[in-house]
Amino acid sequence: MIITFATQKGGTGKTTLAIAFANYISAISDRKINVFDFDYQKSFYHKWKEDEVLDVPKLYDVECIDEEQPFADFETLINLKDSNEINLFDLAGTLDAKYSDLLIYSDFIVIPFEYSDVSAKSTLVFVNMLGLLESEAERIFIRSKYDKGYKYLNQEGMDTEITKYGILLKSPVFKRNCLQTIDTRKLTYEQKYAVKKSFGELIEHINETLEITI
Amino acid sequence: MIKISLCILAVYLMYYAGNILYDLFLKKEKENYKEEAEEFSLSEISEQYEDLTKNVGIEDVENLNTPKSFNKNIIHPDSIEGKQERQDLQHLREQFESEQDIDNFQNDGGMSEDQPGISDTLPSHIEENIPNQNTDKSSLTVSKTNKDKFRNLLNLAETSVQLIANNNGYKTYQSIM
Repeated sequence: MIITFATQKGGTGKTTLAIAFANYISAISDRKINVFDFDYQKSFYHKWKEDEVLDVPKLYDVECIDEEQPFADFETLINLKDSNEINLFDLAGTLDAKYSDLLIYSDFIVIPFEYSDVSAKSTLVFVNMLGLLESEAERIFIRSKYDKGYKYLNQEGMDTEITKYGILLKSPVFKRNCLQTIDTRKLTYEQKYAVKKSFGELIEHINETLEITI
Repeated sequence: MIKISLCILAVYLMYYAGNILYDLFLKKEKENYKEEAEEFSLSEISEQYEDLTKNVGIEDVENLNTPKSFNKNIIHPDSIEGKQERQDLQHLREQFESEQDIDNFQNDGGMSEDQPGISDTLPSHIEENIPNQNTDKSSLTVSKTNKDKFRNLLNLAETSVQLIANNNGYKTYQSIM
């Protein structure tokens, strides 16, 4: 299967959530996880490379995609989709033509977002774009960097709008300092606690949709 | 409370009285001032400068002495090209005729024997490269058109988002697609 972490705006915690998800899923699943860093900044890949000095064994391999048209043969993409392994893609914060095939054929697109003006707007632009590309992927929205003690005045309106286009996970990923020091080898107790509820919901949804157990 | 109300009423009445006084005296003076203003007529001015006016014809403008930097940007390059074209026409005709002569010569004399020879001597690596170049070019154009299409879609996606509510700066957007 293909699970893609993507947004139309950088800084929403996309790579952090992708790392956390890859770590989380490798702890609970027997399936092989392949991570593809499709971001030109290669943050995930660099982090993974940096972590090679750690004593903890690696949980998964991260491959960097540099090519302009990585799925030119198309079969590669379909094989990844049909595979029982979990293929996780982390995209850049800016949409590009080279992502179109992946956005169309992903099984799930996880879209982290915030309630800030820019993020709210770009999330809808991204959703529009998926519609225009006729993407088959299921959109899963996840509130990122959510502040528990803050009243977001546009939350209700944005939630109503967003749920028209996909699943909005009930549990947000709260803004926590522990997530800033995340690495690709492990999840600390605090980090696991920070993402447990949201990822639990996400995995449950994936299991229900594909009728599998991750 | 009554005192305050009376005070406000008194202030209002004073203001009103002031306004009446202003309208009666001060405003009038202003109007008088306006009436005293000097009057000018354009005819007088035109008579005064009659000697200075001069007719400027198109020839005067064309022969105007301007700095050389003014001529740097040619405003109407088309007309100049047209002239050049006319000048080159004779030359082109001669070229065309001479080319036609060469063609006729090839058709008339031993062309049938020479032609296959030419194609045979064409280096094989060049022949191999020709289709490759074509495919490279076509793939390039395909990726370019894809990019253009993608950009168009992105523009459409961006313009199809509408602001529906602004709650103290917290904006709620809506997709209008």
